[in-house]
Amino acid sequence: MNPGAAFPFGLVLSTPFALIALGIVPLIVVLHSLTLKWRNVEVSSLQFWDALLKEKKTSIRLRSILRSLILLAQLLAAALLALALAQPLISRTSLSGSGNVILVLDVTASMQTVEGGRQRMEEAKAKALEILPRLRQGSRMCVIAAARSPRILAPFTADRQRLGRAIRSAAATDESGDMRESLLFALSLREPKRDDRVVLVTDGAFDSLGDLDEGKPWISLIRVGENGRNAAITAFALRRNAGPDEGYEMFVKAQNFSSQPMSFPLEVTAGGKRIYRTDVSLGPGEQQGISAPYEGPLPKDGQSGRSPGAVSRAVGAAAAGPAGGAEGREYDSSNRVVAEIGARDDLAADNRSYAVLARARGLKTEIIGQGNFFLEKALATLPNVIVSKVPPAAVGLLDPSAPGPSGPEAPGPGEVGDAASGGAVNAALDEAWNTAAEQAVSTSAVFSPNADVVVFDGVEAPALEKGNYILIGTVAPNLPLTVTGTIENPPVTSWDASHPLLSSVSVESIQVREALRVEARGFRTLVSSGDRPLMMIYQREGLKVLFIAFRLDGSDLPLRPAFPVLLANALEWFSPGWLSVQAEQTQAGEPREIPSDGSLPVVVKRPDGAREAMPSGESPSVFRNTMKAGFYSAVWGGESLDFAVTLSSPEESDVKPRFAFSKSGETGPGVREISGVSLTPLWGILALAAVALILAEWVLVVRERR
Amino acid sequence: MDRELFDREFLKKIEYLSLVSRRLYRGEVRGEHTSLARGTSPDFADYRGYQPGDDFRYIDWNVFSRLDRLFVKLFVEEEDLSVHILLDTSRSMEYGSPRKIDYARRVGAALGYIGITSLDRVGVSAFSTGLTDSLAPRRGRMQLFHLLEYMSRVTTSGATDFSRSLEAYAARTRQPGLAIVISDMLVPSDYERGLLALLYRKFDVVLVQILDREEISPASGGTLRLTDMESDRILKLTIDRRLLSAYRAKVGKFLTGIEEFCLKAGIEYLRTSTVVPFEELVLKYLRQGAHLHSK
Repeated sequence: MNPGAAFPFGLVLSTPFALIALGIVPLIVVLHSLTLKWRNVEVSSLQFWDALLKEKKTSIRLRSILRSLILLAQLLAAALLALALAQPLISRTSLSGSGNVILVLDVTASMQTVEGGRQRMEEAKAKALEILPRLRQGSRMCVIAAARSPRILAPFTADRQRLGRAIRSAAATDESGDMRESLLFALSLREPKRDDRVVLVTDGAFDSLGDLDEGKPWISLIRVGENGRNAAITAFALRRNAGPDEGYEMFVKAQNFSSQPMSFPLEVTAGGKRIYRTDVSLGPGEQQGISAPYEGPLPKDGQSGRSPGAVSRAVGAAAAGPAGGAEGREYDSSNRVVAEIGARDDLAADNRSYAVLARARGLKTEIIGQGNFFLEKALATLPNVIVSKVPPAAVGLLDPSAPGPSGPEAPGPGEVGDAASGGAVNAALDEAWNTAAEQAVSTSAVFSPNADVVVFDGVEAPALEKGNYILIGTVAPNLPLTVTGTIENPPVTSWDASHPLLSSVSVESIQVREALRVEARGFRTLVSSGDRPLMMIYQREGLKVLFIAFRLDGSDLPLRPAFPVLLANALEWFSPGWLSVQAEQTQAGEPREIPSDGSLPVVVKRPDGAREAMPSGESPSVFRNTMKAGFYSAVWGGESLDFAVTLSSPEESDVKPRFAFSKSGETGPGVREISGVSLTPLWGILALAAVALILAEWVLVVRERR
Repeated sequence: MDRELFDREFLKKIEYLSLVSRRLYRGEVRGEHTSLARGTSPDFADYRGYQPGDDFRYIDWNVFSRLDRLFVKLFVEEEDLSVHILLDTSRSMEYGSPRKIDYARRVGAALGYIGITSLDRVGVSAFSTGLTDSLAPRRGRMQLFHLLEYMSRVTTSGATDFSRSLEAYAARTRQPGLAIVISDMLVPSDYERGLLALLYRKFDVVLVQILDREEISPASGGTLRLTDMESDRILKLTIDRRLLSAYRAKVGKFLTGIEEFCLKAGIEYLRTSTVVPFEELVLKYLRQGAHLHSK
């Protein structure tokens, strides 16, 4: 007998042939029936026996039962002895490890795969529920749902019912997964001294767990699912044509993840109207990118994905309800674009991809400096740019151009002017400078930008880590850029006309009164005067810098038509497509920022029609419940925002279970395989029981014979 | 005649018993036995107060001189005796080794012989469910042959209806006398009624109970299918020592009950087992004077 699948206990016989000894049982019955043969006795009268029967009915019946008990005891003793000879072992399956269990339940999109009429998620939940009866006495368990980030469904508890409810409540999302992060989170909950165990229930539809690929003895993997037949849209984007025409094109990538060729139609609808259709045939593992002109409606000017939705897309804004006008509001669906393939496969969630078309949101540009009319005017004339001015002191910066103590430690462009001043005025300015300096944040502190592009116009820049910056006549301390002095009247001798930043920009005859002499590493020079750079760009991950070596008020560049073009090119370099129409998409599971000021509650309508209210007080509000793909609408005050959540994840769409621990991790398709089986010999107990029964039988026989 | 039952040896024994009985008690044809009735024999019996009409001859003047009251002397009346042997022939009497019926026949024959030789009228009646065959009480040598012949052909049959049989006998007998009831007394219903019926009819009653040793104290138990000889009813029982002990106690209580009843009612009670030689029983009977000294 093997341990049953549903029961954690089982019986194993070491020497099953010894059960032949059970043949003694019928022999006992035969012998008993022989001894039970009634002896015929003729008596003169039954009157005394009758009287005795009346008086001692109970005891006589008991004697009869006693005889049955004797037989029963004999039979049981014989059976137990035979069983003892077979050397039975009790096998008890339980999760190995004596501590608690941390159950990680995969709820990524691939768990929606339906195989054999059953969703992988259901199978996973069934397997997870099988763990509950195998928990050791006193062990606790917690349940974690693993998708893009881990979520605790049930904290550590020994309450099996609560755990069961948590497991049953789990549902597969449209999120792609980061199983490693969830596993690391689970491991962080593990108490090694307690011998806690992590059990991962997943379809294994991922390639790697990074450094956890080898596995650990205390991590168990229960895998569900088989191969899965799936095709998916793995990319959907809208972009401006590269050509001279101002049109747009869309890009859809379809991929066949199955081992058989698949053919299916691909359709794109905008506002519910089909704007594109084609048939796609893909061989096993093949993918195809399809570019086609976008012929659907485009958002009108001024419509951006960001905020002024109340002006553009929200219809009937006057119907604002108590929740900021969310209730009863209708949304213009013309900007909602859906790409869909009609593939008959096992996973439906990735057959559709969603996008909301919107103009690029307004580019927030912040100028930190003493103020430059030409710079401000040039930026303000650019469409979709929001310009703000910030005095240096407001962000804790020093203005090198302002009067201050001079010296070799802090030379600056303003030093000359400062030196020209004198007397009491200088003393007052020195005091103000010192006060500002005391209040200022050290320049070595990393700067956190509040805008898409920050312009440091002649002020000493702080350390820059991430963001887009224009440094005009100044440098940042953490950049590989060292000021070695100044250059008087440097002529422009060369420039890189091929770079997009200088597209349609003529710098040939720019006049510069004074420029910083710098030595730079890793910068790309765009304009130079001899071997001295006048304009450079620097780019590393998350950081883009345009360095202009001269101050604008010491040059005629701001007066030239090239200046706004240069700025426009720079903004395009910083934020490509900022002036174009964009297909706004948020990856399922990613938080979505709602640009509310936090004063009003935000109500988000989910794809399933349910509305979710977000509390006010957070600016910007962040909506995190993006587990399901589809269109979401956020409303706050008189404003609204449409955004699309989409899966589009090649790794998630590849639903083939392919992960297994390479070394010590335990991998099995079921709970039993990861369970430890303990064998307890039973023959001793059985033999003792048989002896006890024989003794009892002997006592009964003696009693009967009295 | 049952030659085996009443063989020469048996006849010698009853002859001997008869001689023993003569030596113990002198006898005449008349007046050899006393009766319950007060009579005119020289044997003083009792006093009673004088009542008008009494014979003046029997007034005890000596007592009158001392007590100044008249008392009449009573004397035992002598008469010849009728001996009624009532023999239980129910099927239960078949039981035992030797059979109780054989033992009873011998006892009955012996007592009848003694009676006949004492010039008493001796008669025999068999009973089971009721009265069956009878030998009317008579005197004389011929009656001895009739008695032995009767005893020889007595067979058992039927169940015992003890009281009904005795009541019937008491009712039909015109001349009461000594009633010797020989039975195993294994009767399902009350036996007292029958015995009392005889007493009411002025019988001197002697009850001889014959039992087999196995009936008093069964030797073995086990898983038995007991068959009632009279009713053929079957009872299955697992009999252990405890139950046997309870059975013995039950039988003992039953026998004690009979004994007590007989003592109270003035019935001579003799109980024997078939293993006891019948002549010993008869001698015991004679020594107790149950036959000759009754009343």
